[in-house]
Amino acid sequence: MHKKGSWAYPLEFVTYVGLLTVILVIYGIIFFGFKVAEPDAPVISAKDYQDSTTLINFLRTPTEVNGNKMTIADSINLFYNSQLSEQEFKNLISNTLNSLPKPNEDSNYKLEIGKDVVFDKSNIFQAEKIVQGLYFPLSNKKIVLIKLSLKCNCNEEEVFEVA
Amino acid sequence: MNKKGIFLPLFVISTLFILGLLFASITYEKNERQDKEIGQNALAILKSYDEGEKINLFFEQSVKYTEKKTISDLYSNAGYSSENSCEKIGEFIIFSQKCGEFNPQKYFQESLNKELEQYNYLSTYKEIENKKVFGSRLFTAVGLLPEVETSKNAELFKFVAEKNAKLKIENLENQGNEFIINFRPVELLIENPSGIGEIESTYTLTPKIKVENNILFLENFHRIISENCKDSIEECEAKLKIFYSNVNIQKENNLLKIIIPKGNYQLKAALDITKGFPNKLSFRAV
Repeated sequence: MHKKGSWAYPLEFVTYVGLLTVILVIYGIIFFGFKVAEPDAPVISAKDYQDSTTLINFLRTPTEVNGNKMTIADSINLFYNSQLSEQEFKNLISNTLNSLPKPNEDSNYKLEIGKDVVFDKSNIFQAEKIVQGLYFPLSNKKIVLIKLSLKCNCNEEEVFEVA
Repeated sequence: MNKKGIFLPLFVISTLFILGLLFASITYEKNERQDKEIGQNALAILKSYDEGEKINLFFEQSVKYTEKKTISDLYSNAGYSSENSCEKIGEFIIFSQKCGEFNPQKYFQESLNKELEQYNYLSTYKEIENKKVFGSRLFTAVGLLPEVETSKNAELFKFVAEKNAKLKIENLENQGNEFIINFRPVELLIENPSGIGEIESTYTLTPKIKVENNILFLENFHRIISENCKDSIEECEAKLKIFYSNVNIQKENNLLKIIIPKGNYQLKAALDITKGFPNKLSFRAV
């Protein structure tokens, strides 16, 4: 090891101090950046309590088709059995989706019925917040997957208020 | 060798070691605790209840479709199921004792059960996810941390939900103008998020669906026919026109072919008064 005053001493000192700095920066990132040092909340997060209520309520929403009282769920079956025109179905679903509670004006609900029918007004910058899904029976004995998601630029608290 | 000169390298190495140890112990402690969050069991119950709501909606819709078809079949066969032993003339069954006992409520339950068997529920259940602890995968991979038990019950939950969510009518409660269809209870598991211990808790769903009593019209039809079509075909025709203003009657030799519209359905039957009418038996589902 080199003494103070030796020609190699400053080089060695800088190397070790540099190494120490790198170690401290890396651990700083791990402990504070990845929040390893922060204690976990002992209680489960409120957003984990999301259920499928919004989707179920949406499907049970009463509506009227050609003078007949029914639910949105019934109208989906009618559409799949070609007893409801595409335009009429689109209007019905869009109006009902717009009536669902939203965290802010820019939020949009995306509804997917099976693989082919999608109602989505959102843009690519909006994150998917609530995702709810269920399998829905049709009168032809087939089953279709219905997925509802809320897309918005909003925080968890705002989402939790409408979920 | 300058002994004092070793202080700085030792300091750097021990800093690395101490911070590494601190990181490992924090990760270990967090990893151990991740299945003990308050609220996980409540969340598991909530998720089972949510699955129950989805099953209820699935049942309601299935019953809506099958009830219409079943009633339509019963009306087209004058209160009998489509698989009956009645004689036929064209699309009309001859409403006689050859048809066997007249019990539309029993046939309704049997036909509805048969139709409902064709609807198979699928679950979208997802397991409760434990929080990811930073670094735990690395420590587990090198054998410094034990593998954390995650819930093994989600797949089992799905399997049980899909197997048990079969629509089977337990009984029909006749409430005058309405029927309450009581279905066999559906037992759902409650997920055990920690994966510790046996699965013991279940959530039992007892679906009940109210439908219009369209059987009453068929039973009244049987009573009217039995009381007014015993003696002559002319008297029978006249009485039917009094009871059913919208009845359509076609006379064919000693037969009366009748169609009585009722809402979305049409009651169809052929009457031959020489052959007698079916006996009505009361039916109680077990």
